[in-house]
Amino acid sequence: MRKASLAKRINKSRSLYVMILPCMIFTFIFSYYPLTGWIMAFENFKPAKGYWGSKFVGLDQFRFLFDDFEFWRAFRNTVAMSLLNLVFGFLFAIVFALLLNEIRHTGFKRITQTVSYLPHFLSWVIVCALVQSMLASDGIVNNVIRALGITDKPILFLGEPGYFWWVVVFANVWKEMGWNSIIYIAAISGIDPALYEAAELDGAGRFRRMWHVTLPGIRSTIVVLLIMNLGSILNAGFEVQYLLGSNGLLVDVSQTIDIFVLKYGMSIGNYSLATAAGMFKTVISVTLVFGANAIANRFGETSLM
Amino acid sequence: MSKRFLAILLSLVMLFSLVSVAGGEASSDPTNIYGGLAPLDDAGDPITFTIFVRDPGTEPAADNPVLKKIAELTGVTIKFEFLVGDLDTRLGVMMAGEEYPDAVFAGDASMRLIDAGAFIPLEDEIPKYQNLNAMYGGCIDSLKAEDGHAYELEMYSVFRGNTVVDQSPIFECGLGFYIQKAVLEDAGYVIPRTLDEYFDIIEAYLAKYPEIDGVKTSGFEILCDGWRNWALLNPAQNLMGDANDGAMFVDYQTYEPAFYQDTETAYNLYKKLNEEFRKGVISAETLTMSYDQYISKLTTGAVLGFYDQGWNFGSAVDLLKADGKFNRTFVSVPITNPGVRDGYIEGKNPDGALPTGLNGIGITTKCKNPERLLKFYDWLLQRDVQDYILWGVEGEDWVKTESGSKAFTDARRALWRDSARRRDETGYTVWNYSPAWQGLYKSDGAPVRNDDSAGEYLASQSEYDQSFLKGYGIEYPAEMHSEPIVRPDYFPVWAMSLEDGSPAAVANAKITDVTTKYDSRLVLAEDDAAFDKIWEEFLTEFHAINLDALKDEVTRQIALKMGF
Amino acid sequence: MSQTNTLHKKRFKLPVFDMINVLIMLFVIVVMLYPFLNTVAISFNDAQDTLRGGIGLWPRVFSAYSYEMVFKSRLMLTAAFNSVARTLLATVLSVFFASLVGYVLSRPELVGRKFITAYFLVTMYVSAGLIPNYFLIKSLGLLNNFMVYILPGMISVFNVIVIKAFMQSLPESLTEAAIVDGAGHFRCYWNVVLPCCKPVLATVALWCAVGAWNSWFDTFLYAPNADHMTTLQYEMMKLLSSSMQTGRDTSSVFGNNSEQANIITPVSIRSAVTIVASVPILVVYPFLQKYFVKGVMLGAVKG
Repeated sequence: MRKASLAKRINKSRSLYVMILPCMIFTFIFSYYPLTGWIMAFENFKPAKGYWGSKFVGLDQFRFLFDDFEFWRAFRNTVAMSLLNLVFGFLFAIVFALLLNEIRHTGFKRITQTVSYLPHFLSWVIVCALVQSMLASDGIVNNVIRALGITDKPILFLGEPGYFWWVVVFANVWKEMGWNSIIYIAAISGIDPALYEAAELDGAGRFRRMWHVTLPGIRSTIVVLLIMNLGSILNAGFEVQYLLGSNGLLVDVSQTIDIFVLKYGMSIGNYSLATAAGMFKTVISVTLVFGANAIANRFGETSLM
Repeated sequence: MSKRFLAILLSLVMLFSLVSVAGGEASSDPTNIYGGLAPLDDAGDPITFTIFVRDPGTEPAADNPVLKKIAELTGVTIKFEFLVGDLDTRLGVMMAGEEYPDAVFAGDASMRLIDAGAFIPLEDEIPKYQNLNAMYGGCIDSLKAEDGHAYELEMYSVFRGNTVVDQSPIFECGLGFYIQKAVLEDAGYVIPRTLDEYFDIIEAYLAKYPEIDGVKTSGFEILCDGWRNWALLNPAQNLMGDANDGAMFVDYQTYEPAFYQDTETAYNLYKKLNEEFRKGVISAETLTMSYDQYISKLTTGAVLGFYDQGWNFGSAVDLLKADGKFNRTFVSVPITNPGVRDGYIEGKNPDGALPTGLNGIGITTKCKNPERLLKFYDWLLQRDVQDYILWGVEGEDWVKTESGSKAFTDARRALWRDSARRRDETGYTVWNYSPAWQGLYKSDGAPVRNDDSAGEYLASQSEYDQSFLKGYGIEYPAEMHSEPIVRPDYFPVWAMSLEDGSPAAVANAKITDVTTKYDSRLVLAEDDAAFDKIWEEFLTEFHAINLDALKDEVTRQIALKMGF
Repeated sequence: MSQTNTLHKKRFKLPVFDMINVLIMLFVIVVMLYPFLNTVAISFNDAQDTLRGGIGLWPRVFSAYSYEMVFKSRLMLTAAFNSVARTLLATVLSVFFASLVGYVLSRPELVGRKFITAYFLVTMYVSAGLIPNYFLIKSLGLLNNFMVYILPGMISVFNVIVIKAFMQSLPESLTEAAIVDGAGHFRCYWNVVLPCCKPVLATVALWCAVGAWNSWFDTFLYAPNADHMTTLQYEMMKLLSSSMQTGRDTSSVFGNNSEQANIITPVSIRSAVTIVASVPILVVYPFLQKYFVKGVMLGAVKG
């Protein structure tokens, strides 16, 4: 009985399978098939010798990672910076989108939005150079602090480990806030204006309308993006950390997994190490995403699946 | 052309035709085996070789007149693929896919390509080409990799046993503790020899001139930005009398390599820097500076001293010169431990240097026509061709000096200095990435390049610079240092290639990490107790590295190169 | 009485919020505009003078040499053509496939929906790495082939999920009618659902376009020395990296007194390159922007 209904259900959505099957095959070719290359993680891979000619070394690459205290320090730094970026990146982008939505003058709104994502087009090298000059002892930040009389000696922002993560977060928010808010602005524009009218009739003020109409309207977008980004928690990147934090005073807090792998992998010709690290990251990411998804399901939130 | 000159030329031709039977009629030098700038037999059969170069760069303009002429005479066009992005990535996919261009210049990554079997052996080919043989024939055994084959045509050196050129003199020391010329002038043209003396005169000047041109004077800068970390990591080996050797210091009596990072010299160095930091001569900010910030600081002319390598801050010096602030430019001084002979300058071996295995062009297994390429290189090595590329046309681009040497005309000097014009209007790019002579021609002592020419060096010195040198009674800044020590054949350690992913390579990377981290902290220590505590921590972490792996490998390679 | 009261209250309260809000936005404008204008100023400043640092919003020594260098690149035309072509093609295909897959995954009647979603989702966090991907591209014959710019990234799972979430938030009544009408799924997707998704499609299109426009790494890996394959960003990268090298070349000890040659430096070239590369996207953006600002969906649902 159940079997028959299953077959029937499948048959009913036959056209859906026709639509998706080619895409699944395509994805298999470009994403799953190359995973045979993971065999590299168990070898001392030499590009000229290929998968089958390289020396098999078992778990040595993983051991190299996991036995090194520096790797775990890099792991800590990566997770810390990612989480801070996640929290503040979301917060600023959402608040900005909400506030922008409250601007009534269409021209001003458009200009503000366009300007807000300009920094996204600047490369990290440019952004970091600006951050460096702003945080210099004679830079604008120290000048303001001195003018306010908070301290008379300039603060060495890029020499103090305690500040570094915040500098990275600040740089990230600056660069990506406007860009990240685009999706929320799009989601807000999808909210039925009738809901606002109803709320206004109920006597709801600006804040209450933002809280009770706009925010719920983009909640599913927020949750979905949050879960997906949670999976990228081990990708804190390397550019901004390398550019701002490679000096000796900061390496303990600035080295990320990516930097560690570059230093002890690629740059000394060990191509396998990156694969091993990649596998490690995949396991953690997939676990996190599916875990977060399950939690979202349990709380009745929109989720990925 | 004057009659007298023609007469000299003729006599020279006759002289050389006695020496070299192979010389054609038009040739004036034994290297002109193809008749100088004369067409080759297969010039009518055009061929293009693609060469991958490990440096970033720009291809010469398509209408480059010199390269056009070379293509006419030889039929050969060289197309360069300069590096974009990351070298390790590019080489990785190149080797994985075996998609090699005709030839590769991979620098110190050559070992990887050799291991991958990318290159064809050349030891049987070189003797077939007269000029290539004149260049490499005398040291062909040293050109060979550990498997007994020679894979690379090395560049940028005067090779041992070559029959064409000698070493040129050294004009300047290219690295070390630099100091502003005005500071030395103010101190009465003394030569500081120890760290104490060095900082004493800097402090004196600093007290006298707290501001220079309205900018707060800075006593000493230490740049440590990413891979530009030598100002912090390297000086200890120099204080011990070595040149820029690398991660290890080598005793020239026993040829035993040792680490300098944890020695008393290193302790004293960082202690001294820490002292100067606490006195305010060094600012904490210097250790967090980016390269761009460093250069912009040097261009103010208010920086009195720093440790660096010449090429790294040349752009700042150019700006100082453009501003006419010649007294604010810098000179390297021979700072060592008290009583130690300074060895900053790498003395050139009068017999020529041995190949390092680092700077070679390899011809790949995918090369369309290796014979043609080798013949092209052989053709390029003719003196007439080299002169044509490097100096241009006589009368137009250069004139003969009284001493028989060559001097650029002002127009040519300006052109040569403008890297874009040099690339687009001369054959420099091809010359720079091909086997080429340098130094002084044995036949008449003439300089191969302008960089080899004493006249050109002096022409580049301003009036201030000349009076500065007069103050010391010397001709070149290099004379402030001791007579250069000729380096043993193993030199330097940094050029030794370590096997990919080997424990030695890992140890090498770790050493950089650990020293960068602790050395900065040492400089900024609050007081003596804190300093000693950081030093102890450093020793613990430093000795936790697998140092022996690197030491054994370096010892092995020294023995190999020294022939022990 | 009470009515006038609330009206009064409103009139009194709103401007304060609006004023603060406008002030915040002005602050955002200043903070976000500064780095960009600074980059413009540097790009028009003499390269050598820039080394002194301290350029603000206006060039100190005006020079358009960096731009001259950028536009002088030998392959500029081919590169611009390829960049535009790959951006258009990749954007159209990518938006189409992402919305197609998104639609299918948003259908509750799809049996095995969880599994299929997971099948796509996992690929977002799994990467085979540099060399395995290279082997794949090589074995598919995509080296030095224009399609290498289009195919590998054609189905972006991130975009699929974003679109799917948006579709799921649409009222069910919307599609029910179409399905009951007997329209096939493809027609339901194409005629009913897609028109309602304009805001999210515009967003995804923007992401794809910017991604395709800015990418150079695929050229570097899969067609590093094929002139006909070059893209604008790759040419820019070439120029940028070569400027790092000339820095070394010119700083020979044989520097000649005060005669200054035209030089390029990484800082000046990078600025010019940034401006040249980002302007086209900035010009296109306002055309997409209208889809965000209006409530596009309303018409579809009600009409």
